[in-house]
Formats: sequence, structure tokens, C-alpha cells
Amino acid sequence: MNKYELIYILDAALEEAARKELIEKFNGVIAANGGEVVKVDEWGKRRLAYTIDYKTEGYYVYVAFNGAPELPRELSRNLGINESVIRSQIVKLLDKKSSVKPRPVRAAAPVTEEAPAAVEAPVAPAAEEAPAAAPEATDAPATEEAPATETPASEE
Amino acid sequence: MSEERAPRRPRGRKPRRKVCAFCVDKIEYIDYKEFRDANSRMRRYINERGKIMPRRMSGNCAKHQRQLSEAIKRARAIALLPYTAE
Repeated sequence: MNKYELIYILDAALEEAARKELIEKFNGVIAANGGEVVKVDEWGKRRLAYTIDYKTEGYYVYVAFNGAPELPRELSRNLGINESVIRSQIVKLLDKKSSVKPRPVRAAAPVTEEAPAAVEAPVAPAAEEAPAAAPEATDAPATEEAPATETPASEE
Repeated sequence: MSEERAPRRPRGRKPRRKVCAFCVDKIEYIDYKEFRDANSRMRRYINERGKIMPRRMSGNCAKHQRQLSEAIKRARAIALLPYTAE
């Protein structure tokens, strides 16, 4: 069993019921092929960074699952057939590395709540703290990373 | 090529050796999902045109630059980031 994660983009024009049905259907494909769905996270409607088939918006769905090495191929075949799926991507999660990116330490973030396998939890708070870290790099605009060691380590 | 790396420096302070920000933060794996936020701190490794910032500017180490470029490319594939932007 390997760990994988899948992100697919559904047509934003799809109504609620049809969307739920599709999400169920793909979860069913995972289950039917001996996999198990670990987590389903609907990111919701987002602007696409570029138009795909003249669409500017899409409904993002994130699925974490475990399964045999043959499963991703079968799953992406199913995703490819479905016309409501604009785009999909399956990525294998590496086991040895912590796949969750730790929060930026220098932003004085509490690292303690990192332990539970929250896949996207650290993403949002990190964004809020990024501006706070930016003003430190005033003296050397070209070497923004360099002052990292000098930033007041008050919280550590 | 060797010209730009010439050791002589007429005057002024020495440029500081850049440090890989990911090493400083002890990051093991750069997740492409971080590009989900429009103003995530990862965005500064991409310029306005959507290009990946070179190592000589960011100061990243080779290992993290590889991970970063992989993450950016994955994010591009699912339209979290543009391939190109004007």
C-alpha cells in the first residue's frame, strides 16, 4: 500500500447534487480497487491560474488515499473519461519525509500543534504570518533570506 | 563565465553569503499545495511573469531548489499557478 494524494478540478457550473455524486463516484473507484480513502477535502470554487477549455473557475477537490501501485492508473483513467473533470493530478506521498511542510519557524509560529497529520492546516496560518516576517529584510533587499538568522528569536 | 565571478571587488561591503531559507526552517518536503494561497510566502520564488526564481537570487541550496521547482511545476499542472503571466 502506498500513500497518494489526488487533486481534481470539477466544472464549476456543476450543481451541488451532481458534484456530490461525482465525488462519491471517484471515492467508490478507490474503494472498488482495494484502496481506502483517508481524507476528502473540498477546497471549493477557485479561480484557475489559466483558462482550461475556456473556463476560468473550477471546483477543487482534494483526496488523500492509500492503495496498491496499480490504483492511480485506474483512477486517473476514470477521471480522464469524465467530462466534468477539468484536470486531475495524483501524487505519491513520500513515506520517510514528513509530507506536511512545517510552519515557518522564524514567523514565531507555535510548532507544537504540528504533530497531528493536518495536511492543509499549516497552509493558511503561514500566509498570515508571512507579511510579519517580510519587514525584517529592510537593509538587504537583494538577500531577503539572509537576515533570517538575525531576526529576533524572541519566541524561541 | 569566470568573468562575473572575478574575485576583485573595487570597494564597498562584501555581499553576504545567502542562506537557504528552507534549510533554516528545517523543511523536509516542499508541498505544492502551499501555492493555494495567493499571498503565501512561497509566491516570492516566482516573479510576475510566473517564472521560477533562480538559485543565485534566492540562495536556496540545490536540494531545496529541486524540491521547489518540482512543487511549482505540480502547482502549475493543476492551475494553482500560471505557466506564464503577463
